[in-house]
Amino acid sequence: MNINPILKREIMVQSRSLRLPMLVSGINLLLFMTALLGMFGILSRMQLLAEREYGSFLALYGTVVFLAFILLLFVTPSLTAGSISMERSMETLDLMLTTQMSPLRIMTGKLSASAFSVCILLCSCIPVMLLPLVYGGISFSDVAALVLVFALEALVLLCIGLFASSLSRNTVRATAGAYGLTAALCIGFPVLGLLLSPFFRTGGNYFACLLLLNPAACVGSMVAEQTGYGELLSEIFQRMSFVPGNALVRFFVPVSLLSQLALAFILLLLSVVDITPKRGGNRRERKS
Amino acid sequence: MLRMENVKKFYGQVCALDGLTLSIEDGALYGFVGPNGAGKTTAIKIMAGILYPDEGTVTIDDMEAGAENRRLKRRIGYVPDTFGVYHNLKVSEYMEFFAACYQINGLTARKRIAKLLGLMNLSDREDFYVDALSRGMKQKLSLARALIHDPKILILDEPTSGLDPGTRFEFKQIIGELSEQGKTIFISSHILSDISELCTDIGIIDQGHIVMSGRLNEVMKMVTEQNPIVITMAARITEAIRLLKAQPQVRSLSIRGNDIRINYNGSQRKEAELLRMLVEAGLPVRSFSREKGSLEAIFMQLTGHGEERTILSWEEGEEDEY
Repeated sequence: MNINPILKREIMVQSRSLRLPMLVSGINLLLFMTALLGMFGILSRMQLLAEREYGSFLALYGTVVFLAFILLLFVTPSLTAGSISMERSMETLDLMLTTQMSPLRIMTGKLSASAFSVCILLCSCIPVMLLPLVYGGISFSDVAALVLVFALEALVLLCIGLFASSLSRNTVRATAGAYGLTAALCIGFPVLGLLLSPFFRTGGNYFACLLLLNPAACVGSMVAEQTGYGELLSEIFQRMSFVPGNALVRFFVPVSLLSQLALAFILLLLSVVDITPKRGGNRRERKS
Repeated sequence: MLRMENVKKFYGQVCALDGLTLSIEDGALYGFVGPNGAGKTTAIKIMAGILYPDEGTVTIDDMEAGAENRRLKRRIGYVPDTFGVYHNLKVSEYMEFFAACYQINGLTARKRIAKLLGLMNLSDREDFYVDALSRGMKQKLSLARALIHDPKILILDEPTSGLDPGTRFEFKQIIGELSEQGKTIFISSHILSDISELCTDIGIIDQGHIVMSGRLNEVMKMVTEQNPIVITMAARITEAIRLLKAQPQVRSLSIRGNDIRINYNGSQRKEAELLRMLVEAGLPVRSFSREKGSLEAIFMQLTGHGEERTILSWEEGEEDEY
C-alpha cells in the first residue's frame, strides 16, 4: 500500500514525542474529574433528598460533552497551525516541492497526520462520554453519533489550522490566525447575527445562516436535542429574526455539517493553491 | 541540456532577474558566481521548480518547466544553501522519507540509501539523529538526499560555504566523482577558488543578468590576454621605462618596486620583440610575463569592483620622474 510519506514520517516523529500522550492524559484527566465530581455531587444530593433526578445525569452528560468540545476547539487548530509554517521556516517545504510530491499530497499528508492524532484523542474520550449509560437517558447510538460529529468538526478545525499555516511563515502567527478564524466562526458570526437582527423584520435576517458554519452551534444543537433541549436552537434563531421552524432549523445539524465540510474543502484547496509555485509568484516569496 | 531564456523575476518592485539567459550542456560542471543579491538563489529556485519566472522560459531537455513538471522533477536534484532539519528523525529515516517522496520504497530504497551514505562516508551515522550531525555531515547528507532518485542534473546552492577545509576537499572530490559519472552539475558558490578548481564552465551574474559566460579555460585565457605584462628588473629601471615609453603598443605603465607593469596592446610576436629589445639594450631583465588571470580578478572587473585592482599608473604624455 502506498502510504503518504508525510503521514508515515509524522507518525514516526509523534511516537518519539511526549506531546500527544500528555495531551491525551491531560484532557482525559480534566473530563474524568468533571464527570466523577459531577456524579458524586448528584449521588450525594440523591442520598440527601431521597429523590431520583435523572435529568441531572443528562445535564452532566451535556456539560462533559461540551467541555470536551471546548478542549477540542483549543487543541485541534494548533495541531495543524504549525504544519506548513514550520516546514517553511525550516526550508523543508521547498525540498518537498522539488520532489514528486504534489502540493495536494503534501497537504493531505499533513492533514491526515494531524487527523490521526485527533482520532487517538477522540477515542480516548469515548469512555468518559459513555458514563451516562450507567444511569440511562442516553443511548450508545447517541454517543456514537456525537463522536462522529466531533470527528467531522475536528476535520473542519484541522483545515482551518492548515489554511492559517499555509498563509504564514511564522508558527506563532499561524496559530493565532487559526484561533482567530475559529473564534470568528464560533463567536463572531452569532454576535454579528444578533447585532443585525434589529434591522430586519422577522424572517429576513439571512446573516443568521452564518450559524451553519459555527461548529459550536452544531455540537450544541446536537447535545441539546439529545438531552431534551431541542427548542433552544429555535429560540436562538427567533432572537436573530430568522424564520423559526423552517427546514434549515429542523435539519440544522446535517446541513451545518455539510456547510462546514464544504468550507473545510475550500480552505484545503486554498492552502494547496497557496503552496503551489505559480506564475506571478506566491505572496510570501521574498528576495533571497 | 538546461536552458534559461530571457528569464525575468520580480519581488514586488524589485527586479531579481532581468532577462537572464544561460545554457548548460549535458555533462558540464557549471559554476555560477555573482555578488550578494545578484539573483543567484532566485535563478536556482526557478531551475529547481520552486519558483516560476514572471517572464521567459526554462527548458530542460526540450521540456518546458511547469508543463511537464513531474517528469522534470525526476531529472533534478536540488541542494539548497540551508539545510532543512527534521527533529526526531534519524539519518536513514530522513533518506527513506525523501526516497518515498520519489516513490522509491522497500529494498530498492534501502540499497540506494546504503550506496549513497557510503559515497558520502556517512554509513556509520545511519542511526544518528539528523539534527545531531555536524554542518559538514548535514551538507553531505543533503547531497545524498538530492541524489536519492539518481537525477541527471544536480543543482547546488553554496554547497561548500561554512565547511572546514577538510570537508570542503572531501565535498569537492565527491562532486568531481559525480561529474565523472556524467551528471550535469550546476554549482553556485562564493568561494571562487572552488569554482576555478572544479568547473568546466562558468557564468557570472550581476544585477539579474549574465555578464560573462563560457568555458572556464577560454574565459581565463581571454582575461589573461587583457592582463598587464610584468617586467621584473634587476637594475636600471629608469632606462627600461624610457625604452618602454617609446613603444606605441604600450598604453600605460606602472611601477611597484622592481616590477614594471605595462598595458601592452600587441600580439605575442610583438611581446617577444619587446623582450628582445630590452635584452639587446643591455638591460638586466629578471622576468617578463603576462600577469595570470584569476577568477577573483574577472569577478571584480565584471561586477564593478575593477577599480580596486588599479595601482599607481602612468599615462602617455605625463612627465617621467625617473
